[in-house]
Amino acid sequence: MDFQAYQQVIHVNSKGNLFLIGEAEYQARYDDEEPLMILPIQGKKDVAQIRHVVDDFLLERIPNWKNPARNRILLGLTEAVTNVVKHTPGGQVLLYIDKIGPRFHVIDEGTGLEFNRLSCLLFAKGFSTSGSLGAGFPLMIRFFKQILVCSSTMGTKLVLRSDLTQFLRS
Amino acid sequence: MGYFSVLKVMITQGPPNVIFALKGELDLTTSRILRKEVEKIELDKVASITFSLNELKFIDSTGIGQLIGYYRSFAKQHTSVYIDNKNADIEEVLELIGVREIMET
Repeated sequence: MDFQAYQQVIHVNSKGNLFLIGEAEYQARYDDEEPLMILPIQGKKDVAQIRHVVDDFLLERIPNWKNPARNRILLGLTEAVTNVVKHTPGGQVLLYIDKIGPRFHVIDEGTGLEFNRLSCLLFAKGFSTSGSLGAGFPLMIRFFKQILVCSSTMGTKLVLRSDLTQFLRS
Repeated sequence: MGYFSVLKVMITQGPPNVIFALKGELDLTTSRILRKEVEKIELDKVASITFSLNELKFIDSTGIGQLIGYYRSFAKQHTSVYIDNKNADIEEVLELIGVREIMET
């Protein structure tokens, strides 16, 4: 199956919440933006450290950060950072704030996601390539409004877009 | 950056029915703290283990995976494992991951 076919399968299976994009599209969308924070991911301690730093920063910057979405967004971010620590040599988190909520770019220096296993990895609760629970991606999909995945043998970039009003309605 | 993820593990009830009370955050950063405490117990004296999550502020899929791992490994040694939780935020994550379908409460 080619990249475009995978794009469509992932998009339909995620009900429009998840997109596969190429490096050129990622650069076109985001290369002109300056992140508000750049946080390195180097080891286990960074999983909690990044969560706390982001939480403190957003408490100062976003007036309604203390709403029901806060814990869910921080959990989704934690899952993404944990994946980087467990499966890759390292990476970084870039933080931006959009009108509807914070946006995180979780970038790793791994060997990329295998497209032929991507559907299982993203949607099947319990599917894991490492013997873990395999619940990380399903939680991220649940708690973020939209996820963009840009992956190649040079590494993976996840763009996690949140919507602070999303959980006020549910 | 001077941030630390803290997990405190207290044994609030001893054998044969052990209760571990967890306070703080259980994730990849702190999972080893729980592992060290659990490794200290003498399994031949234990009939059941309860993990009390009522004072836990945060848990992720790594932390939940650790608890499910104990449930599965101790079951082979005929030791029951339970989770006690009344925290709504924690309960949401437990339910989403399907812990309640796997473990007894």
